[in-house]
Amino acid sequence: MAKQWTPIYLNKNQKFEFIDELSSGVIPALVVKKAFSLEKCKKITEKILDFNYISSGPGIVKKIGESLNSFINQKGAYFEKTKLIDKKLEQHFLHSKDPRISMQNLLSSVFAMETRVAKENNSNYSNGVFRFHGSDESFKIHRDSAHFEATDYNVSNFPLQFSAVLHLQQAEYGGELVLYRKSWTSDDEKYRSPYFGYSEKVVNNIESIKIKPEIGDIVIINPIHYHTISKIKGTCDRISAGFFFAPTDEQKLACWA
Amino acid sequence: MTDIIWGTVTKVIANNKFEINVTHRKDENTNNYDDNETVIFTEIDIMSLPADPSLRTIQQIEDAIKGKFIKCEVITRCDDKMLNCNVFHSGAGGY
Repeated sequence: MAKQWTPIYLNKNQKFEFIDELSSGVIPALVVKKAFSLEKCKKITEKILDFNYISSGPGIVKKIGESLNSFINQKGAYFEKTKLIDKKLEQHFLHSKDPRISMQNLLSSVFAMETRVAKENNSNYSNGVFRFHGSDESFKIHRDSAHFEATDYNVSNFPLQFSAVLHLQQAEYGGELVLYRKSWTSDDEKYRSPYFGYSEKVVNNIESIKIKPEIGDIVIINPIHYHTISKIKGTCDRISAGFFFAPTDEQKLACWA
Repeated sequence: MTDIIWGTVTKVIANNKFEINVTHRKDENTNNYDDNETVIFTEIDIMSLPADPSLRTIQQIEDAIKGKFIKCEVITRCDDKMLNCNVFHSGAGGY
């Protein structure tokens, strides 16, 4: 019988020493409990709901911040728009600190490695994306892989990547992270959906776990494992902030979205 | 309306020709398409490829699209059964 597949839970002052096990999928997820206080998350949520630059992209109806997958063939536009929107977010959070930067600082502590936003030709990658998931949406099973999908960007040179997601507001019902015990392989491209993600056939009969994060928790996974979000019901959006990160040759963590 | 097919590139034959495993077809397509088709492309929107088609090598085409999921807008089916298409990157498998 296979070993039970269960996340590791830490508090924000603890160090995590099993990055290889998280990478290989022996550990499905690391959950940093109460990384941000309820009060802090409420303030961030109010602040981000007051920000006007909302966009959409592949697999997401409503988001704030840029991500690579909207610009696979428009590298110049990605860095230009990222510069614009991250500057506006920096100004928007001037007196309360951009939570994406606070998350980077927290990762530095948890992994005992300095965390910085990735750069390419003196341009910064996106610091992260705020995502809004609502009750009228369906969520495709997907995996995240800059290594395969964003080959024109330098971050594709990282052989592995992790994702970090801070949960700012919960949905009333649903909105759990569903994580499958299966890593993407190139053979799976035959299951791709034209616009985003994969057919459910790709995870047919595959073991999965559901993680229901609480407000303020940061969930870290190796997103090469297929994952999705369970159906949301109720009037509240699920709101999160997230980015990808990868260990560099200099024993630092580089992050991007 | 243009017919559209999607699928993964299985083999690059020349610097303007490849084989595709067709997995999706637009519902409104006028014509039928086999599960395996050979495509000759006139336009391709992959950023890493030289804009001038004469400068493209088979290796560059392989690096850019082999194993990748792409969209083909069908211009015409040639007499030799191959499809003449405009080729595009298609959506994303994740964020």
